Amino acid sequence: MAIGRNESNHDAVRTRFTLPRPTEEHGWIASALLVTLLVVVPVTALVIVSTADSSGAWRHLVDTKLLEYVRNTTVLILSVCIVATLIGVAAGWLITAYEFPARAVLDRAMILPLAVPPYLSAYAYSDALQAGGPIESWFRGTLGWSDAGAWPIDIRSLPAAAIILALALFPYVYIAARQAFESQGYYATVVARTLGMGPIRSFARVAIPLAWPAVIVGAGLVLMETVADFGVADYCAVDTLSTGVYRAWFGMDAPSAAARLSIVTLGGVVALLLALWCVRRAIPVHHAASTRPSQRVVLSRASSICVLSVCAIPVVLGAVVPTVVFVVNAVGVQPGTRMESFLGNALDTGVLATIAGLVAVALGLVVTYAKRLTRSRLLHALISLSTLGYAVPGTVIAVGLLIPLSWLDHTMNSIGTRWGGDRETLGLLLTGSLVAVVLGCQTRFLAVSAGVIESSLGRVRASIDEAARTLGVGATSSFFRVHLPICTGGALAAGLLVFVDVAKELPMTLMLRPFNFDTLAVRTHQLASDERLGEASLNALGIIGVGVVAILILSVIGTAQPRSVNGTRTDGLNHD
Amino acid sequence: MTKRGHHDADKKNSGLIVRDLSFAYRSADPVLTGASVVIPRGEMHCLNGPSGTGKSTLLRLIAGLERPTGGSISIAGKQVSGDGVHVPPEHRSVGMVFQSYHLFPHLSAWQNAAFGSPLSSRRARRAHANDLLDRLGVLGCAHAKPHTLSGGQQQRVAIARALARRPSVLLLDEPVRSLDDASATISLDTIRVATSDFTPSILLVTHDTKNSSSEFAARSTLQYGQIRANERTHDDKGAADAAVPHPNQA
Repeated sequence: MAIGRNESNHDAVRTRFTLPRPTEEHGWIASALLVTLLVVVPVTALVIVSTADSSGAWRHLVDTKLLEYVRNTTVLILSVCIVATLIGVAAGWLITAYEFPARAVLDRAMILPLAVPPYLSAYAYSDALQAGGPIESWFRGTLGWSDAGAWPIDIRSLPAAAIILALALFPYVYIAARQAFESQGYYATVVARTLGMGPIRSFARVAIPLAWPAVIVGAGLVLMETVADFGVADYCAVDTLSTGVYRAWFGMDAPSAAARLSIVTLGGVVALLLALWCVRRAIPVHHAASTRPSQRVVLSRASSICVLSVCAIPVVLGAVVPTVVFVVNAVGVQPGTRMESFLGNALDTGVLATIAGLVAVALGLVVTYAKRLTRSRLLHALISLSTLGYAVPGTVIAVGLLIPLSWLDHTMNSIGTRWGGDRETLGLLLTGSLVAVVLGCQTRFLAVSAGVIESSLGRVRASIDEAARTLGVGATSSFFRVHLPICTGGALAAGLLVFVDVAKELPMTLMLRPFNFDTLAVRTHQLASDERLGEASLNALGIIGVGVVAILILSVIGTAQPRSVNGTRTDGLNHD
Repeated sequence: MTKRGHHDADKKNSGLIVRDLSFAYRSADPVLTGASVVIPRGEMHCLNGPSGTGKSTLLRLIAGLERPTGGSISIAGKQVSGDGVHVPPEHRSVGMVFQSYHLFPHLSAWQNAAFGSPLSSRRARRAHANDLLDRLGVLGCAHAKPHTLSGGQQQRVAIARALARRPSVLLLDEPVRSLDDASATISLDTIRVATSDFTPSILLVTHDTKNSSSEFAARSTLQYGQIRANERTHDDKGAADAAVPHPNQA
């Protein structure tokens, strides 16, 4: 630590042979280390429970389904990553390099699929494309098909699940690729063109190699979202590790088997993260030598229509079609019949997402500021553990939290009974209330809030902290008087992102919610699973609405030019 | 001079005393190897040296932003660094004007100047800040945010902010770097006027060896990790040598 012990000039004590006296910095760092328990406790619980006797359930899983879970998950991940990367990179390049009508509108619209959770797309496409659905009926009427088995599209299959997930997740790659292509500047491709390369060769030999590091980051996010997916796999009847954990816990009532399956999933996630890390290290990051923006090639009318169509199709399939399907279904439902239920679900969602968002912002601030206060690499690494939960599927987090929280609930009830209390009055304080689901949301989404806040605080140079300290202000006071006011916008954005993520979250909410507490996502899943899509439509539109509003707000925040805060953060060391 | 003699001189000066200061950044060559300097109360001391010799590091050590690996620092007669003691920066009576000023971007000029003020009421803090801004000639932009101020105005606000605590030691890191000679002289005059009522020890570091302001009581040069005295321009203070000889030389 650069800054020393918190003691006055009068009582400065000799530190030799004495333990360091607790300081404000120690308090912040200790709090941040406590936050890492959100990840450490569930993982430890999974390891402990997985060693218990699984009464044959695990053996049954190994003999029958485990290989299928692993194979399906692997194929799904690879397919989704490849398709999403192709769409994202192609669209990113076309929108960066070429000028055509509605390019600016399309640039913004490309992220709209993020507002539609993949499981909603699965419900919508299942309704529209299933045998006996409107599209099949139209073909049957037009082409005169009589054979019911002739319909070639099977929505409940792995390829369908992969396409649905890719159409919902490609914006992650698009955003990364678009920024990378834009930052390459004017000269990268111009030089290639002067060396005799056509547009396609300069794209392949200059633009793509320069953009790879960013594209890999985007593809990594797609990968993690695919591993974490439960809704699409469950609805499309694809047995993956995520659905397997859910079934082992609820269907087989085998906690030990669910824990072992969770450990297998975690192992896969760690292996994937390591592979990504190795790939990122192997590919050098290049920085543009010029800040002059790229000069777009103006396309002819025919080419414009072609490019416009190529870029618009993923947006239409990823966002517009599912929304239209839900609107049509919602119109078909008798007015007023489900409004009361919708309002109740919306209220539950709002309460949960607000609490989880506020807690995530508070914890994100603690984690980020504590990292700022220490230069120890070990402490940095330990504190960063708390943000690894984003890579863990919701079902795994839910099982990892249910085990220790149930134990705590039962222990508290036992103690209460032993001391003469009434077991009934104590109840399930943790697993029967919002505590479990809010904790689960922190484990999963703390990375989101901490990332946004860190980016916001990162614009404040370390020397600003030092300026405050030389003016007689301690670490805590400096946080409230300097850092918090500067990163208020970042904290609000972080809260908003977590709010939206929690509103869309399905498997963890499904497993950890208290009784009679149904969020919009949970109720939509239940109704869609019962083939009552019309009744689910209003809830689905509510979720999409929250996502669209969040994207609009974030795009406004992103467009607003941030005021200079003395440049980017450096290590604060000025070697004169 | 004997050690006892040093001790008496220290008490008498009650300014800034740096003795045998050593420092190295992690896994790097030493930046300072036994640097010593004494600046009596009310004196302005200029420390020259080429870029990269450790001038800013010396200021960071005096401010408490780094821990020295050896030697000691005393401010106003109290040891703040060395021999296992490390008083954190917020508890040292030090004001520092950074190279790039580092004004708080979310606060106006007067709020920046009042940031470290020890006065309890907001009204008193504001009046004190405005008084300092007035003395430094930037009262007119008291309500302006830092990004709307010119470099010279930002510098004056930064000086006002550092002076609001009435520190015993004022550290100035390249304060005249971006100013021409005439402006630099005016700027140093301004600092002298603004500190006339509490006379801190002032240490100014600059890589510009041509700076010829008559405000400096003494000059020295930092080279090879040590401070070498060049000249004393004011003899009326009767204080100890500007650069303290190494104990081995005593």
